[in-house]
Amino acid sequence: MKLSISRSQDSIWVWLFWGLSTYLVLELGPFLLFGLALKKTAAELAGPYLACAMPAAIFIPLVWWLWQREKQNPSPKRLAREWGVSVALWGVAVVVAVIYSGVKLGFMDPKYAFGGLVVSLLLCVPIGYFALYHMTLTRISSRAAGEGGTCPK
Amino acid sequence: MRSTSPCVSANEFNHNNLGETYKDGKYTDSLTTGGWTDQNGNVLTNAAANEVGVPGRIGFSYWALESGTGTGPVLLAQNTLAPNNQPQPQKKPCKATTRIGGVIKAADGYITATGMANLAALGYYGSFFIVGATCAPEPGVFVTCPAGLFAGGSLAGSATVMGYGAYKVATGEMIPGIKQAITCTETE
Repeated sequence: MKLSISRSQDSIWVWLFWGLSTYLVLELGPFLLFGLALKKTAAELAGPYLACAMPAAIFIPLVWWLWQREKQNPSPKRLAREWGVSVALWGVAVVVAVIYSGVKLGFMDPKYAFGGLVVSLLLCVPIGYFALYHMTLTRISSRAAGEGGTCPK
Repeated sequence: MRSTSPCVSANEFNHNNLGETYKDGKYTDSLTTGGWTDQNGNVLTNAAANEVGVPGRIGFSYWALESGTGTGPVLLAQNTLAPNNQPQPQKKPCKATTRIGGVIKAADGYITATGMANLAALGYYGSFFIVGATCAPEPGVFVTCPAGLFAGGSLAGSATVMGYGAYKVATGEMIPGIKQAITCTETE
């Protein structure tokens, strides 16, 4: 198992297997609780479960691609932008999945769903982009400082 | 005889032994009920008669001549009162309490909506921080990335619910409050 996890840095398929299966197992818990608490059938929960799995299915391959990009030593700002865009995309997928699930399970009024989606996206996308942009730049700067290099401007 | 009403043409209005007919026989002035009836024999209310434009109930008076011919044109219809000349209801004066109520409602909605939007923004930041900390750092801690995605996703989901709530409060409470304050009409 340890060997498989360590190999996931090199093989996207190993990474997808470990990453997605871990995520799906973790996601199963809340959905089982939902099903028991709200007396929803498996058929009713299947759509929202898959919808909530979509952000991870999009982002986990992107993470692997970003790790590979980091090995190629691109410019820090470019890497920071790529992380920012990827995480913003993950945020969009989460918002869409949550709104869809809310409407599908009857927790959200469809009349307000589109407006709620727009408001959530307006909040989520810039926060996600700039949060990861600055986190990545800070990380690369501190690593460069530790190695005795220069900080990116 | 010619009609004096702009709404009633001579061939639309016919007179026979049973009573006057209107709209090519769709409506009949029943001699027994004393009102207009439709083809099924149902008596028209004043509102319904007015809606279909049958003369003689609201805004019209009429009289028929030459009973028994069954062919017409025998209409005499006289427009005595145009429908638009009905008295308009008086506009109620604006109550200060209605306007103040609207302002309070709008302020309450604004505070709630902005509070929820701020919480949503905080939730998003937290979720992206978790994802960044678990997926973006140095190689070797990548195993925590799926767990970080799950935790961050849960937090982002809560933030999305907050964003939805902020929009709902803004449109359901704040905007009606503003409208109430401006137009001075009670809203639900």
